[in-house]
Amino acid sequence: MANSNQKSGSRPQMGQAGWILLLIIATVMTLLPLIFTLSLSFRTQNSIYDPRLFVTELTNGNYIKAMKDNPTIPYNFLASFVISTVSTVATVLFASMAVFGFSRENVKGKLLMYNMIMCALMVPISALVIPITQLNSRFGLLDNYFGLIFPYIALNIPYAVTILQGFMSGIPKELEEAAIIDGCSTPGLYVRIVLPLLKSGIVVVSIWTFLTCWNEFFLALCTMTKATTKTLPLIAQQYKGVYNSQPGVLFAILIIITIPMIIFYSIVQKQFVKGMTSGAVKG
Amino acid sequence: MENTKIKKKQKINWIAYLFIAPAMFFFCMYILYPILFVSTHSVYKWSTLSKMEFVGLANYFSLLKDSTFWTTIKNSAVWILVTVPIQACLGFILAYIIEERLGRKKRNGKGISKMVFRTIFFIPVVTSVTVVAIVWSKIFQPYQGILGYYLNQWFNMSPTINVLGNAKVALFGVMLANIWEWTGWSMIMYVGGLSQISDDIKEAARIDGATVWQELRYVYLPSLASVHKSLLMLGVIGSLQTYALVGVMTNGGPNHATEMPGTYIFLKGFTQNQMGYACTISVAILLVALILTFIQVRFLGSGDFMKKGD
Repeated sequence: MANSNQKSGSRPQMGQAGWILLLIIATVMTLLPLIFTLSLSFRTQNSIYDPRLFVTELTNGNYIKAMKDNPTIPYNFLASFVISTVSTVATVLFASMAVFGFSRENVKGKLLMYNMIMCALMVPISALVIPITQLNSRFGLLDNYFGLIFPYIALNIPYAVTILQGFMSGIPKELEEAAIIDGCSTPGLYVRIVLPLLKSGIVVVSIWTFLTCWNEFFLALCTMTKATTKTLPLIAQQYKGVYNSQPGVLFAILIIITIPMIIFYSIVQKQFVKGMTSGAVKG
Repeated sequence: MENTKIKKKQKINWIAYLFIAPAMFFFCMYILYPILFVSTHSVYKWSTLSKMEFVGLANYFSLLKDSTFWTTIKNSAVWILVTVPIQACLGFILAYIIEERLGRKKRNGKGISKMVFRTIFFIPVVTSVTVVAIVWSKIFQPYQGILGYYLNQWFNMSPTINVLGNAKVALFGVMLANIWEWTGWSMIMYVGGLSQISDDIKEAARIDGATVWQELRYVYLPSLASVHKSLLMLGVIGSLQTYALVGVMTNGGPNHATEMPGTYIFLKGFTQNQMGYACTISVAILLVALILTFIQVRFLGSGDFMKKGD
């Protein structure tokens, strides 16, 4: 790598500056809608319909009004957070247990079970919304966190199993055998040897699962009807109707919903990328 | 399959079943049972479970004659064909520049710029999908959105341009929002894939004097085959379950032009209370998913799974 600098100089091609320029254009395209949202959220009732990206007539009244009018927003955060976290933890736990179980010997029918779960990878949630809603209403889980948590676990397990399977097959058998000889029981093997070795995969699966649950809309729409149990994607859509005549407040709410996720991702991104680059995706 | 030659009769490993059990329980409860449910309930006419009327295959015959249903199939196909390649290309370009071009110049703290760019491009992915939908609706809004305004200012186009209200282009407007939201995911997948290509291969290509294009064509793209496949799979499944973007941006309109399977199931089942018919659509979508899976496995291989015979 030391002399790559000279090398790239010897070829007629875009230099470093060209590549950086491309990235900056992409950055602008990526951030533009969010900057527009931010700009809208600070506008007054007079300037809100102005189509320009930046205006000078600004106010922070939208945020104050958004918070004052909607004391339930913290509950919606809580709902989204609890549902996503519990689903993620359970998905990771059950998927890693399953992957460990599949790697054991003398398990009759494991291939069948494995392939059934793999087929579920391609099942679109939209096709299952009706029966899941029926199940929830029969078990009294409508407007209940678990009405979403249980299906989310089921729907995320296939993807989690796929990713973790890749890591599981990378664990050398000798390591397990050594642990068994040292007197490690099967559950002990899972907790002390396998789980730590699956760590990178678990990070990737966790973040993906958390994001999918945090963003899921269709099933949430059919399950949650009470103002306090609705998840954030639902209230964004709901306020679209409520603040039809005051878009400034709507966009302030959108910013309030978005910021925590950006902060969350900024914190975990290092771990996430580390997981991705350690073989979550087979090169 | 038979491991008999390795060891004599061994007893069944019950404890392994305990480990698999929770995953299988959720699978059976919330995936297998719902699939059976939509299949068996698609031959009834019903709006609540207490009042069901057996109609045989009538729902299926109506489905075949239902032009809106075929629109949803067509839209899903367009959605897959447009969004998957574009997201993959853009994601790859971003990942390639960030991983392979930014670090070339030796500079202290080069990791920072990589990290910043990776985070920025991933922000749309962590943005709630309804937020994305509302913001893009606003961007496309005639007279008030920035798109029409700046197209008018810079290219002198009509400011009345109404992307989402025009049946011909509305779907492309929604897909643009989808591409904006998901390109970051493709990027991060390619970042992962790129890191798995050994430096030796990259170095060898460089020493052989390969041009950037040749490097991409013969080194990078073939080595990333499994990433392409994963993205295709996620893209196909994503398009079949697209609901929020379409539901919030156009609600399937204008005149069903942007109707997707998800929005149509919701319309029939929950808005018009034709649950039986909505189940029929669900079965059809599951069949489409099955066929697409089969095609992928058949022609592209199964990636890392489904091939474990032992």
